[in-house]
Amino acid sequence: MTVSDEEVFAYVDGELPPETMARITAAMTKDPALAARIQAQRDLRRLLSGAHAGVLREPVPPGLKATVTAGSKPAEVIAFPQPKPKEKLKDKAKAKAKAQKPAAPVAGRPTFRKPPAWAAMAACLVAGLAIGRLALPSPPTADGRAAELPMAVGPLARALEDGAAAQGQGPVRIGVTFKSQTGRWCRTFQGQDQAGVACRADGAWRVLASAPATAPAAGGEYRQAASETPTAVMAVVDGMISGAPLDAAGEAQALKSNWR
Amino acid sequence: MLDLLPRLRRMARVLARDPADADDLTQLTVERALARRDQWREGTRQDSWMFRIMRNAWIDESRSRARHGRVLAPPEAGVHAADPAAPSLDGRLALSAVEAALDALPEDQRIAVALVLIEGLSYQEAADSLDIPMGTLTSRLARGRTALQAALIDQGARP
Repeated sequence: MTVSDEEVFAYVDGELPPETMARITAAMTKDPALAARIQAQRDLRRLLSGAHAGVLREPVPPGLKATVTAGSKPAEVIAFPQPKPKEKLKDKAKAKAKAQKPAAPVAGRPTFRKPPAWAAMAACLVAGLAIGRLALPSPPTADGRAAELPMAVGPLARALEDGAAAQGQGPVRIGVTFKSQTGRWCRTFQGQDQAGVACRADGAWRVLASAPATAPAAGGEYRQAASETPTAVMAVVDGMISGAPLDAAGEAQALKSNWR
Repeated sequence: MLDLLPRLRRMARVLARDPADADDLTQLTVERALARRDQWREGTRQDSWMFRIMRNAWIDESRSRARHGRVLAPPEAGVHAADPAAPSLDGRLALSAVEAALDALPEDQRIAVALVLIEGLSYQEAADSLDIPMGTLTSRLARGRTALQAALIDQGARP
């Protein structure tokens, strides 16, 4: 039988239908030239599989690892990092600890069940969000801990400071308002392309976590309700909320008292 | 994603060739993947998804460098340091030769070879990662293999 180069390649790659694989295996035993061609391709494959193998054993640069574990959050609507208040560290730590837990076991399943791969991915993403590093250049600070928590400005700051939930047509909508375990006022928000959670400290709102808003995709494939807060953000909220979110009256009261 | 980092770095090494550029590319890839995590579909391979992001990041990066007049690292600038720990291969010479031969391939062939022959993706997965039809993938792969074979024979390091 005549076996083309392409078939030899596909044979070595295990990409032929089983019957063709078997036919070539049989032909090989009677055709030394074919056997040699196949062997050459196997050798090439083996050689290539070792290419750059050294990099697999090298320690991963710490900066890269940190990007994944601590995460990275390209800045979009929200920016302007500022030195952060100390207390935020606690909030962040809590949010992070929460985020790193494996997904809560589904009711009815044994708790020792290994979390699925996506759970690990989701967990590291949420942890990343909780840290909220910004891609925008941060002003260098003396202590080197430049601005891990962005301060809300513009429409976002106004909505957080003065807006009531589910109010109006502005570019930013407020979701829930709640008190953090460290006694801060916090609110979730939904902008045009970002949704997140911010807490008030020293008269300013700091964004603790944000994620791309689930914008309606052209094909509608990823379509979700526009007001939905991303689960990653909700996980952060769950990790820091104290008690229940405020009801409308409680929110109005907090607004009226200027977040005292 | 942490577990994927070594393989992402290896793929970046194949694409960018220069180790420092490769780590920049890996960094960019991870950042983009984190920003677009909503687009990753449960039940699909995370590695192919991230290779696709890396390949697109590399294209963007190459274009912006070209715009800014930065010269891409020439193939010779890549590190061909043989891996002393590589077991049962035809020795360090052959390994460094295969990396050099790989670096000399045109980018289309290089990435097709890397996805299938280094990373072990199936033809379909590799084609999907590159947004190309399977026939295009197999033809790039075939050309890449033939060129590699020729280069290695030229260098006297018989594969």
